[in-house]
Amino acid sequence: MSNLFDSLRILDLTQVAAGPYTTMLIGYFGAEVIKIESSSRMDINRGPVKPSPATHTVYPNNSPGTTPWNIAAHHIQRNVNKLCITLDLSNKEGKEQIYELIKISDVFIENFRASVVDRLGLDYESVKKINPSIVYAKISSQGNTGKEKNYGSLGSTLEQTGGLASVTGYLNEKPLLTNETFPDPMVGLFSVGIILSALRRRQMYGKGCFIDMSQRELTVNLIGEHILESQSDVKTPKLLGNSHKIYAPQGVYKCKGDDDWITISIGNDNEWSILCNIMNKTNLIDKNEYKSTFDRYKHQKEIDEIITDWTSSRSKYKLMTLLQQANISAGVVAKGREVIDDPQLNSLQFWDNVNHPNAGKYKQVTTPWVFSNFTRNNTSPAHNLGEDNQKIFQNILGLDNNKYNYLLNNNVIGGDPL
Amino acid sequence: MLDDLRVIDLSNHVSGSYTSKLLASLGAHVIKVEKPSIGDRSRNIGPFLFKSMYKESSLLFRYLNTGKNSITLDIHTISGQKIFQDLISIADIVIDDTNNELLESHVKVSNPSMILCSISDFGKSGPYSEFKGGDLINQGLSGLLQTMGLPSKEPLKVGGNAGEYAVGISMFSGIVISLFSRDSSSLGNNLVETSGIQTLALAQIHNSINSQFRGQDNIRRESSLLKAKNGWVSMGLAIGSRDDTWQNFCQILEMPELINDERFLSMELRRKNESELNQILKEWVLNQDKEEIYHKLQNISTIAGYVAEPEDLLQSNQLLEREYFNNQEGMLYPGIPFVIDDLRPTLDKAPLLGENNIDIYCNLLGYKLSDVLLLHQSGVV
Repeated sequence: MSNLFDSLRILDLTQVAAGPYTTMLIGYFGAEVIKIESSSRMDINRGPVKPSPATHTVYPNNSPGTTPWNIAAHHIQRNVNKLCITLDLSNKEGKEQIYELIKISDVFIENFRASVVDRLGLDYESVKKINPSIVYAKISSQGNTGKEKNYGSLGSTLEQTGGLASVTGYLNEKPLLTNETFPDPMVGLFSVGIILSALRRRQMYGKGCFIDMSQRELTVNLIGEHILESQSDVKTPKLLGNSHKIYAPQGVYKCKGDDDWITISIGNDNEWSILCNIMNKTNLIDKNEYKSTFDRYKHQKEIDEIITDWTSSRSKYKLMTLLQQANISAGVVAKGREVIDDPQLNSLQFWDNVNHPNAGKYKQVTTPWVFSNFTRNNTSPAHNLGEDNQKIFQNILGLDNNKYNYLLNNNVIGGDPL
Repeated sequence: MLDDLRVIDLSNHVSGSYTSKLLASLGAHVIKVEKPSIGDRSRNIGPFLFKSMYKESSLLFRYLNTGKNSITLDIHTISGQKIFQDLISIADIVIDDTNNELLESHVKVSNPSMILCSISDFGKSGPYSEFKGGDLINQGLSGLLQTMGLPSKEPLKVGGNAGEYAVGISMFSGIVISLFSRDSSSLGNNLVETSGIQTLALAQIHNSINSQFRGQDNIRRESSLLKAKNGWVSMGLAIGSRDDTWQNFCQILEMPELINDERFLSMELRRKNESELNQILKEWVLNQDKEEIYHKLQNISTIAGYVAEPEDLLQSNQLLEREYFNNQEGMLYPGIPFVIDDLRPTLDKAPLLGENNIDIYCNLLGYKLSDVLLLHQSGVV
């Protein structure tokens, strides 16, 4: 069990992916995360209130049930370890309640389009007046300043505007998206370190701060060397497919089985001769055209065909074992189910077995770390919309029954989605 | 925020070097320890500044190592190990991405409160712990690779070194978490590990969700990017837009007949019928400038995007207005990706190999200059 952040309270106004990942990860080490939504505007990951057959929201067994917003798969996957309350922030009385929560919180985190918090009176200046030592983290697409500060994005937008797509694609073809909204989890993971660094300084000097994180700027950081190269005299192709700058051959090769593939990467001449031996193609070892890494890079296309010839009739898992035993970098291209069953990830306790009260059993993504002197907590399954209203407003803020019911009846504190 | 910390950076890959760069951006003092005369592996990896490749012209190295000091030390010699222990005794964090087996014992002897950070492909224990990985292999095993690329082709990796930067980010946040454990106790044995497979399995979101909840694995799909006059765009009309967005969009298109077209009335429908919609938009898009489309569509509350090439980013008004880039010797470096209390930290240029030898060995560790010269002659420094 971890009690690292037992006394830490985080007010979480984030939605979709990046921000929810941040608070999920910190939540694994004991922080109290209070996720604030409103009944009229839930986290869009909860999906529609009445899903149509056209909805792209994912539900357990494809069945939305009676309260689909509580079991939408993307929602429950990244909102573990959180309390869920509902509050209408555009309402004066709703604001009074969040101001009370701000007073007793350590971190305020949001990822709206930049000007939304100004409109709600929840910008840093306003929040700081209520709690001067708060750590305020603003995660936005373009940052809190500049003419484009109100532009919106999802991870797939950021791959484009942050330049990642310009280096992602098959050799000399066109740019492609990752289909995995790659920048979102990156921003989520990165914000953990920034927010906790700010908290550490606060512990030392009592000083809060305003963190202005632009998701686009972090994405551009991931292609820094390409930004520099574009200003140099030497320009090399940016779209390299699966090949490597100094290893050859390197690629993804077809195996036996439906859409089964293996990755192989040859780091030096010795590994090349090992591979040739395993493939029973010893005649290639001394072939002049394939002698050095540079030669193999030049002839990668023919070499790929030779390797595919060999891999395409073999099982990817058997190939991985065979090649790894010979000390060659190789691995299966795992499908969704295979990642969940992966023996290495399971041995690192990456997946948690969760039994969600409404959504049932599933395997939960946890954290990418192993610490020697403490462990992460077990996953606390995602809560229903407004599940913790009573706990927070009555037990923590001390509202009496009259006031609580009044706010509930006037939809300031929400019940079901409006 | 971390300016009370000294970091020894033994890394040789993008991941560890990016970790220590991020620590430096928060004020940590980073000493990069490199092999005498060879240096960090990335010093020999492109892109390069000049056509004739020489050690100090790797742009990858220059980008990853801003804000650090560099010393040379052969930690595999006996005298090198002694110096290394002196170094460890005054540091708070050691970062290793080369699976150095000696490290743990050194740290235990010289500095038990040290945070020892290990970056690997698959982790230190478990059935793959002896496996040989790398960015492509890690992306494959983590489930990221399978769904990327086109259905008619092989799976495709996330480009550049992004998969390795990801692991660097993971280590960075892991270190800051473990600082709280160190600061609140003196337990010792502060080992923090991250790996390529864990980090990238966290980055695959949709694949494992679909597989578990929908009961089917995700598959690769056709690209949704549309070709504009000078590059690629996405329209961003299918999610995250406002009620009046569609109407405004049809007016920009000058196609009012589409406003009430039943195929495109809601975001859900526009997502479902995306290929039909793209078919209609194709010609209009082809004649427009990619960045103009982006701005026009963002201004009506879409999440439109355009594929920015590095050259486009260097001219992005938004990035320039926020003073994102940092000018070093006439080159614009992507800056630190956060602003705290209106200040964006900047980092000094990357060190030459062994640039800070005298400063660190003599001034910080108290060695005599003559001793350092002797060590230099024997190849230890």
